[in-house]
Amino acid sequence: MSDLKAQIQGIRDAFNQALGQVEGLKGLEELRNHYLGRKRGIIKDLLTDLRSAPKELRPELGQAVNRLKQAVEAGLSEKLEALKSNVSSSKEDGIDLTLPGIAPELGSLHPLNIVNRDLIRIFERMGYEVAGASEIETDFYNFEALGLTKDHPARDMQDTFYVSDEVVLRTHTSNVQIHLMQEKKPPFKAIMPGRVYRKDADITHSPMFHQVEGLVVGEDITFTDLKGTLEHFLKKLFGSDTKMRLRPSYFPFTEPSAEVDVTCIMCGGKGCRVCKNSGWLEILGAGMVDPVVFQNVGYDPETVSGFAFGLGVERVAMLKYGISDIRMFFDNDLRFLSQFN
Amino acid sequence: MDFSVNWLRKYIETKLDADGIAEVLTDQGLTVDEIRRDGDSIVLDIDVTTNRPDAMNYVGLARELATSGNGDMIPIPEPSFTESGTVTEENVAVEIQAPDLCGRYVARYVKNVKIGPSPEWMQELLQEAGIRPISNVVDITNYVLWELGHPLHAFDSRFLQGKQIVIRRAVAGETMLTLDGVERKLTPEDLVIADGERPVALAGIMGGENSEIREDTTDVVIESAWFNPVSVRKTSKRLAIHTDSSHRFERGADIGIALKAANRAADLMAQFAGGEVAPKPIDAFPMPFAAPEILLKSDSLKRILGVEIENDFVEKTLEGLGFSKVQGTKDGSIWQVPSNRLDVTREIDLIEEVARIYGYNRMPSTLPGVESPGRETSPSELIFNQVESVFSAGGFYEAISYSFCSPDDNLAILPKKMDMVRISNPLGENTSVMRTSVLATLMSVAALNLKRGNLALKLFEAGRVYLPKGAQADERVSMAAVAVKGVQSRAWNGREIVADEFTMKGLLNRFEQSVSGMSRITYGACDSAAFNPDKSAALLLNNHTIGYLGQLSGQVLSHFDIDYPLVALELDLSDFVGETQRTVRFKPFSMMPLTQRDSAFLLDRRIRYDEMEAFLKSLDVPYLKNFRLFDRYEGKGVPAGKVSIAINFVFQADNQTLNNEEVNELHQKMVSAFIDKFGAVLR
Ligand SMILES: [Zn+2]
Repeated sequence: MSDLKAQIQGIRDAFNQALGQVEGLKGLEELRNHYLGRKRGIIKDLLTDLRSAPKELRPELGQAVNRLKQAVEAGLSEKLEALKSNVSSSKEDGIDLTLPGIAPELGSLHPLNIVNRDLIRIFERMGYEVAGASEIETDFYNFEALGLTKDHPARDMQDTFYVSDEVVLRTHTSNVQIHLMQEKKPPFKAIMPGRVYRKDADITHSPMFHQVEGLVVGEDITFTDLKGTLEHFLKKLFGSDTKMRLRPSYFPFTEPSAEVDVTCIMCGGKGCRVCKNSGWLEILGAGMVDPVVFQNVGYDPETVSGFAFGLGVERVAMLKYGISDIRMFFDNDLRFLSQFN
Repeated sequence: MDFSVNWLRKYIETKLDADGIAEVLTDQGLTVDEIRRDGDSIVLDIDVTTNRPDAMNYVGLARELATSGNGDMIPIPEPSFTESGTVTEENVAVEIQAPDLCGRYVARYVKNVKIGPSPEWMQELLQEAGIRPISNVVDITNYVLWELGHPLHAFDSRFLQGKQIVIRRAVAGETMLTLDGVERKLTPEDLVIADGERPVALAGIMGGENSEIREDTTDVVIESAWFNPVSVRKTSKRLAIHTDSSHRFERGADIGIALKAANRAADLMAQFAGGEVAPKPIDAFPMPFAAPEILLKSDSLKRILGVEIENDFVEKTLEGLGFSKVQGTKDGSIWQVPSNRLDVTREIDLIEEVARIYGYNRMPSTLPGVESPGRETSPSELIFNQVESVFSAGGFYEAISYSFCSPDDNLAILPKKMDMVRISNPLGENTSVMRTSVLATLMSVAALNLKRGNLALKLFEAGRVYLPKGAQADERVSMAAVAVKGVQSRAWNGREIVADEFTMKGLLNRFEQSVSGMSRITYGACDSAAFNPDKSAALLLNNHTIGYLGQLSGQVLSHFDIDYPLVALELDLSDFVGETQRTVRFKPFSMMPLTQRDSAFLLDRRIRYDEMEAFLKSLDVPYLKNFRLFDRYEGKGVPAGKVSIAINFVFQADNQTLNNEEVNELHQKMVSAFIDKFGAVLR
C-alpha cells in the first residue's frame, strides 16, 4: 500500500505548490474546496480510498491522511492571514491601501488663539460675558482710574510704551474693567481677553503679549467666591487633580491681593527644574477690587464688592505645550505653527 | 532680598526649621523664592512686596512669625551706654531747610571711637546675608538697618565744615563725589545733607567721599532720619543709584523709630568701638507723626472675605502687628496704625492684614451668586472666528504678529497712509509705529519663513490695525492672508496643492458666504502700489475700497527681501461686523430631471467675466436653474486677443419634465443674446 503513501506525499507537494501560487482570497477559497471540500475534496476521496486498503495498514494510513489534513488546514489559514494583511497583491485592479492617504489640506489656529479660546470657553460656561476696549489707551483708563497715580511706585513695575504723555499702549487689559464699570450697573461677570504691551524683551518676556482678565461685581461678592471661582477654573484648565495655593501679594488695584499657584504640571508637585523644586507654578494674580477703583467709576464701595483676576495666555500656553522661549509664538515659523492642528 | 536664618533667630524663639519658616512667611505674603544652604548658614531669598517696607528687616519678619503664633519675639536689649561729655548740640548743629522732604532728623554724637573690625559674630551674620564687613562703625550702621529696617548713616565729624548739618535741596550745578567714586551732578530736585559749605551725602541714598568714616576717625555723627519717599525715588532713579537705604526710603521708612535706631547704633558703638555717647541727641521733627485711626466695622470682614473670623483672633492679630485698639464703638473697633505701617490707611487695609494672618488657604471656597445674562460674543470676535474657521479649513496657518512695525513696512503696503500712531519710546525703529495693515506685519512673518526654507507657505492673521484718530486711534478689525504662488505640493498620485489668486479668492468668497450668505464684494482696478496692477484687484463694497487681492508687486517683495512670487489678501472687516447673525432658511428643491447644455464662445479677452455673468442673469431665462463656467482657454488655436469661454447651463422645472425642444429653444435664445451682446462667436 505504499502507493497510497506515495499518493499522500504527492498530494502534499501539490498542495504546497498551489498554495505558494494562490492569489487573492477567492483563489484561496477555491484551493480550500479543492482539498477539503465535503463532497469532492481530495482528502475526502483519500478517505474513501482508505476503505479499500488492507485492514492492518489502515490505522497507519489513517494517521497519515489526518496529518495531511492538518497540514492543509494549517497552510490555508496561514495563507489567509497573509492575504488579509497584504490585500495589495490580490488582483490587477486592486488598490494598495498602504500607500499614503491624501487628505484635503488643513491649516490651524495659532496656539495662543487655541489657549485663548479654551480660557474663554471655560468662563463662558460659568456665565461670563466677554468685553473689550482700545489697546491704545489714555493714561486715565490704564493707570489713574486703577489707583496708579502719576507718582505711584508701582508705575515703575510696568515698563510702558508711550504714544504721548497722556496716551499709552495698554499694559494690561484692566482698562476694559474701567470702561465696563462705567457702562454697566452691577451685578455682572465678565472676562476681558486681548493684546497688551510692555517694554521688555527676552526669553520669557515679549513686548506684546496676551492677557485674560476677569471681573465680578455685585452686592456681596467675597474673597471666598474668588477662591471658588479660580479653583473651578484651574481644575478645568489643568485637570481635576490640580491643587491651588494662594499667597498674599500686592497689586495697586486689588485688596486683599493674591498670587495664585497651581500644582506644577511638569512634576505633579514633587519638585522639578521648572517649578524650582517648589512643586508650585505661579499662574494668576487676583484680589478683591480696591475701593478706590470703585470710587473712580462711581460705584459705592460700601454697598458693592467684587473680585478681579488676570493671567497671561503665553504663560499658560508655554506650560501646556512645553515651550520655553516666548519668541516662538511671534516668530510664527510654520514648523512651529503646524504642530497644533 | 536675602535674609540669614541664624540672624533671624536672634529675634524669634521658634520651633520651626528653615523650611517651616519659609512656608509660614510665604503663606503670609512674604514669598520665599529660594532657600540656600551652605553649611550651618541658611539664607532665605524673600520677595517682599513694595508695600511692605516694615518687613524688610529681621525684627519685621520675627513680628510676622510671632503674630501668627509661630514663636515668641526676643526683644532687642535696651541701650546700656552712659552718656558723657558735652551735649550733642555743642558738637554738631542740625538745620532742616526742606521740611517737606525731611520729616525727621536725629543726630547722635559718638566720641573717641576706635575704628577696627566689628565683632566676629556680627561679621558672620553680615556675611551670611551677603553684606561685606568693613569696619565696626560702618558694620553697625548696616547691622541696625537690617535689624530694624531703618537706614542710618555715619559721618566723620572732622569733615563737617562749621560743625553743621544742613538738610536742603541741592543748588543747580552743584556736584558731589559719592562713596562709589562717581561725580554726581545735582539739581534742586535732589535733597542733600550738607555741612556749612558743601553736600556731604545724597539724602537717604548714599554718603559722600568727603565725610566718610576712615581708619583714623574718632568722632562720629550717626544720622537717623526720615526722607520723603517720592523725592528719594526721583533722585535715585535719575542718578541710577540703588542702595539698601534708598530701597527702604523709597517705600516709606518708619518715622517713629528714628531715635530708637540711632540709640541702638550708639549702644553698639559704645560696646564694640569703645565710643562715648554725647548726651541729648538732636531730634529735629518738623513732621510729627499723627497715627491714623481706622474704624473696622464688625460686619466688614464677613462682607469682604466671606468668612466668619472670631473677634479674639482679629484683635490678637492686629495687636501682634503693632496696631492698637483705641476704642470699641457700636459699629466696630477703632484701630490706631503704627508708624511702620504707612501702607495701612483704610479699613480694607486692616481687612487684608487679618486675612493674611488668618491664611488665604484656610478659607473655604464658594461661588459668586451673580445671575448673569451669560455670554455675549462681541460682533468683532464673531467675525474673527469666521475668518479663522474659513482660512484654517482652507489650509492656511494662523500667525500672530506684533502690532507694531517700522514706518517703512507700513508704507510698503499702504504707500498713501503717511499717518501712523508712533510710539515715543520704542524698543527700536523696527517696532516704532503701530501697523496700518495686517499685511505690514504678516509680510515679515512670511519673509522669516521663506528665509528658513518653509516654502509651502500659507499664512493668515485676523487682528486690529491702528489708524490715528484724535489723541488715540481708530482700531479697525482687519485680516490678511499670504501664500507662495504656484504648486505648493504634489501627492504621489499627481494631485497638486496649488495657491494662486483664485484659491485666495475662493476663500474670500467662502468667508463672505459664511457671514452674509452671498457675495457682495465687487472687483475694481487695483490702485495699490503693493500689488501687481495686472494681476490684482481692489475689493469694493458699496463702491468703497475695503481691501486688495492678487499678486504682490516686485517692489513690496524686494522691500521684505522675498524672492518668491506671493499672492495676498488684505481685507478690512469693519463692514462685516454685525452680519454674522444671518439665519439660514431651507429652500425646497425640484425632483424633476435636469437638462444640461454646454456652449463655448470666442470673444474679446478684455471682457470681464462678471459682466457676462450679470448679463446672463439679467436675461431671466425661464427654467434656467444655474450656469457655471467650466472652461476658459486662450493660446494655441484661439486668435490673439480672444478667449474661449465655455459655459454649462442647467435647466429644470419645479413640477414638470421639460422636453428637448423647449430646452433647445430657451438655450438658443440665450446664446444668441450673448453673442449679440459681446460680439462673441460660437465655437
Ligand atoms: Zn515641578
